[in-house]
Amino acid sequence: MMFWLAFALRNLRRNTRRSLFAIFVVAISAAAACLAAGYINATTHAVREEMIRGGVGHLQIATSAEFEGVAMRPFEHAMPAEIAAEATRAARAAPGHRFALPRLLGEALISNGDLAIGVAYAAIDPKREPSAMPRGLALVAGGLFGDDPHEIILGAELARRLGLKPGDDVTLLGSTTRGGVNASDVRLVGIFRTGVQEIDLRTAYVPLDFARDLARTDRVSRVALLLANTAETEATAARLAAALPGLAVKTWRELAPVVEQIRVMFIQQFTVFGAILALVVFLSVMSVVLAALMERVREVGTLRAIGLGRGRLAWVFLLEGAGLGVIGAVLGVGLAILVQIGLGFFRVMLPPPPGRSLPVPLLIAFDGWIAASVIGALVIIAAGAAVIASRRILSLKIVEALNHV
Amino acid sequence: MSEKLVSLAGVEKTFRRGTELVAALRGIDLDLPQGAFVGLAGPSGSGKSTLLNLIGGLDRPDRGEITVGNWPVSLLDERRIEAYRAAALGFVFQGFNLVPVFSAEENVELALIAKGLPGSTRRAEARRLLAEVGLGDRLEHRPGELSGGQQQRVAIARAMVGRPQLVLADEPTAALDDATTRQILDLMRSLNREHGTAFLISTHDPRVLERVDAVHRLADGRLA
Repeated sequence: MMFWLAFALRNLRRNTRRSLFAIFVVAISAAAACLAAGYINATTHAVREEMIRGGVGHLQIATSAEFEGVAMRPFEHAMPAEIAAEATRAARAAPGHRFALPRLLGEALISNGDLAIGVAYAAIDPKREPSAMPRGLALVAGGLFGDDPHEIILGAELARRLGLKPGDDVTLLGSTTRGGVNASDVRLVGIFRTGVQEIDLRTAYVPLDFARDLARTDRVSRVALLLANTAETEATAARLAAALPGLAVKTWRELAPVVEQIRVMFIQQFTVFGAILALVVFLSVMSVVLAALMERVREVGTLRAIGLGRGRLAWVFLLEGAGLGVIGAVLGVGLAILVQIGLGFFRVMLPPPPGRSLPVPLLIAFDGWIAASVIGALVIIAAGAAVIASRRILSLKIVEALNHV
Repeated sequence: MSEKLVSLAGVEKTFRRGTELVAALRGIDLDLPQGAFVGLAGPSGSGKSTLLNLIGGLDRPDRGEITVGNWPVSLLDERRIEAYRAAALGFVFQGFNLVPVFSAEENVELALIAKGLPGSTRRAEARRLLAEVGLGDRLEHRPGELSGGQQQRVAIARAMVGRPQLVLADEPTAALDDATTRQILDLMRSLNREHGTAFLISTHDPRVLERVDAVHRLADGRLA
């Protein structure tokens, strides 16, 4: 094995310029593949965490009807207090749990006295929720909730349209469980911006006790659960579903299907991109090995004449192709690491994606598994290209090979 | 009379050149004894190389039978003919045909790989043969660092290292000067005598023909 490996590597040095060209192509392809896969990895991870820590949580517990979202009366499908308490207890008992957050979700009109805008409010635990979901309450002005329950935090676009700043008072007009209307004055303490225009225009946060008073109910719409480890989501969901048979448990995958849709879209794009890279590597290595072999036809004939079979020689050419693949791919991964470090250092920003108002950082996060996969794939492609290129030479009769000029 | 090593009976070979069929060998009958040191003479195009290729299993006859030792060469399939070449034959080519990226030692070692010998045995055998052909101090030299005569010595060591019954040498001195030709012929002759290996040397070089034990002359595809 070492004998043939040395043979293969020395053959690569016979025409340095040609081998360097193939190595260059493989390296650029490896770097491109690593960076593309790293971008997909980082972006899907960022979107997922944005969703989870922006309010969705890893899991949510509610009635099935609440998840379906169709109700004849306000808070019709919200959990009664004792069931919500049981759900919260079960959630807090789950292994790996960090926060169990009861919420009441409702709709209201918010008015500055001149103008009223409809909002969806989330009534939250004013102390726990901001720590648990920091990305959902990314404040750009003011602060978080204090001890006074008559406080509100608004999205930046909503505050702008109502001409509000922290410290201003507004009136919140909401439905009660019996279909009546109730109003209460609240003070704007903070303004958040998620970068998603629709959320920044239509969302308000109020303390849970205030909302219950406004809606005249002690019900809870959902209990959101944040775990220490996202990988534990499915197992915890199964445990909670078993422990709470009258309730439904949904994971972030079900609550935010856009994460999976983005991942699938990226994978489809990467498949096309990867196929193009694979073809480029295949053709480059094949042309380089074929050119090298055309200069070694007599040598191949000699080796076969002295008793070395086609299979053993095909193995040599496979090693030569694999050698080009390994050297190029390892260099490419090194290049991708440098690019990743550079992007992290200079913090390159991309324009806001559709539906968002803030630029997003260009994140690349490829790991050892991605690097190993890229190297493995390119080595196999390069080795395969070399073997295919060698077939024509190896199929020549020995006499033809020996007489080749 | 020594025991027969090579036996050819009614061997014919025809090549197609464009639309024309050219008879390279026409009914060759030839016997060579064990340990022979024989020349195969004839002008260019007389069929010398074709005959060597057929005996060496590098090409197939259209008709006739070829036997070398216990190997029915004309009947062997590809896998067995590779084994035959590795076990029974050594080749020496006009242009030396050494692998340029290998050292002299590695070039000789190559011939033993087909026999499946372990690396340490291969290296020891290669060194022994190179010492025997006078290149014990050139083991690590690559072909490009050796003279023509030294390269042909390496090629002879490669041909001999597997202890073959027969060495087929195709114009082995054509690229060498007088002095080197003499040295190479002396070397082949001494190996022939010491190891009992038969040599069949295709040539039209009179310097070679005057040193062999017997000469078979080919003309127009027939033995004279």
